[in-house]
Amino acid sequence: MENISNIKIIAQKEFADHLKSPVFLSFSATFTLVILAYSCLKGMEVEYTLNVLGSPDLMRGFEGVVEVVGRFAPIIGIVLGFDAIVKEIKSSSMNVLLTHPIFRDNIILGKILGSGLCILSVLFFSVNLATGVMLIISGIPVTMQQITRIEIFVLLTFFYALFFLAISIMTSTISKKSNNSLLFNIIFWLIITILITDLIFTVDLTLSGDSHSAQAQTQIFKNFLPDYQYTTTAVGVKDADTGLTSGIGGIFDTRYTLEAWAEEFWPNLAYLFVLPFILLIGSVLAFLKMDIIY
Amino acid sequence: MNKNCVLALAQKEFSDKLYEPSFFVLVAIFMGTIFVYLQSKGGGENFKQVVQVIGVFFPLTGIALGYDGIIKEKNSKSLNVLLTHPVFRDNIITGKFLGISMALALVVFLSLILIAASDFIISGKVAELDSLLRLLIFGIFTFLYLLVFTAFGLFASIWCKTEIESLTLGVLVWINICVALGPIIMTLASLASGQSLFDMTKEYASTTAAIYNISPLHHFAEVTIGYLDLSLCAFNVPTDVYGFMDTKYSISYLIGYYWQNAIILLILPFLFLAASYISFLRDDI
Repeated sequence: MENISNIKIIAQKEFADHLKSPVFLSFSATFTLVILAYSCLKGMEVEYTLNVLGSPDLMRGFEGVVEVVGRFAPIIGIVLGFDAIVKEIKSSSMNVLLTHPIFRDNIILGKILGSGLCILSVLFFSVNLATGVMLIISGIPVTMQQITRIEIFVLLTFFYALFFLAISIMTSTISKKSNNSLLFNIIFWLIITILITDLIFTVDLTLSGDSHSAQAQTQIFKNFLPDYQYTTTAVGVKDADTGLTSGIGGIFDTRYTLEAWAEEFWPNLAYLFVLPFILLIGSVLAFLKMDIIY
Repeated sequence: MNKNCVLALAQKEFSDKLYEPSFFVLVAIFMGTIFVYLQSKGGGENFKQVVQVIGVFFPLTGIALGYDGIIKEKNSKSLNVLLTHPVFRDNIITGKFLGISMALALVVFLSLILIAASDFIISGKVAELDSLLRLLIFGIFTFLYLLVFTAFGLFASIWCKTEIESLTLGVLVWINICVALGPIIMTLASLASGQSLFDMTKEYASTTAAIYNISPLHHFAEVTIGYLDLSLCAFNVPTDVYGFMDTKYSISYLIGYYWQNAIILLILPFLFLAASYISFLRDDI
């Protein structure tokens, strides 16, 4: 019981610290600005398809929002975690903290909990704002079903960002300086979300000379990437040749029920929910065995 | 005397950068990207992707090279030791700027030469002087564009109190300029002209083109491939001239056509350098 109250206090402190930190506030504002700007454009596009074709292409609007949220949500995770441990060690406050009757696992669990709550609140606010603006500009009435799906999408994004939080807490435990930890995380984010699949495809294509087999082998690799699993649950599987979605088009495809969606994508969902926790356990272990010197 | 100081500092900075592990990571990523997008599909669309990745994501390499230039010395107290020697503050900035620019030039030109050479060898194409010259011009513009962000990083390293603040400021500016600015300009133009993007009116296009002038990415996109913007779902109007890589036009004609964009790309890094001078000369260390 005492342990839980310790964790709660540290989580509270971490949460309050983040809310006052200029770094976190400026990154959250930038994130919200980026997805808001793209949502406005997507809203105009949906309105245009409604006027010209007569039927709204709302899926396209949501796909645009998913694309930009998926690309930039990791930043929130990274910013919250990159100096979680290294900052305390550098300022020697970790030593002071550890002289109190509190265990190391309490500290790191509290930090994870505080940062996790922070991610959830930022995403809840900004994703709702972005989808809301997109729907308002497009002029399409919102149904309860869509709102439920948007909230589930917020949860999916939360677990995706949690993966990056876990990675950044781990690097902040290992690295000696905060700026190295931030730089490493940003490079990791760029490689994972943009470069790696293209790099593997190109190397494969150069070696085999056959684009179909290169495509298939890249697909095998892609299954391990959180980025791919997240977009699959959100907008469905896209055919590599035609670019069309086969089967259920993700969480926003209102032709199917949520049960059908969960049944179709359960392996992806399981991956998305489990992976962050494995990495978080990794960072807890790394912190427990760490020698704190400064 | 002054020249010697600057050169000695530039040498030191350059060799320091070469020993940093992060420098090798940056070179590897730069080369990897150019390799990926030049080899994968072939055709003109391909080159646009290379330029897009360089334009949108590579300013981060510039910032990573510059963000700790002065602040690192200040925090490790080596700046105080340096200033006890007969060297002026402006020498330090110039030396640092030169050293970092050399490191950046090495990254850009080494990767371009290696990738272009391997492409020529593998494909068996015959390299003409004209196409090599255009490739060189592309390299110079890429270097100047990235130098804008490096100079900004250097400025941030003087202005901020800690390394983390400086890096954060750099990353924020990068995201806002290279990612958010494009769609914001499109929305602003829509508000200013009262037309929607999809109405495809001339008025909207001219308003957007006018506002785009504030973005360095726009000038880089113009000189390299003749586009208005390179960010995700960017707005573009078809033109006759597609940048310096457009072999339909001679280089002298293209210089006349794009001189404004080229001048802006040339001036911007020195603007930040001037800001760095002012802020460093007045700084209380």
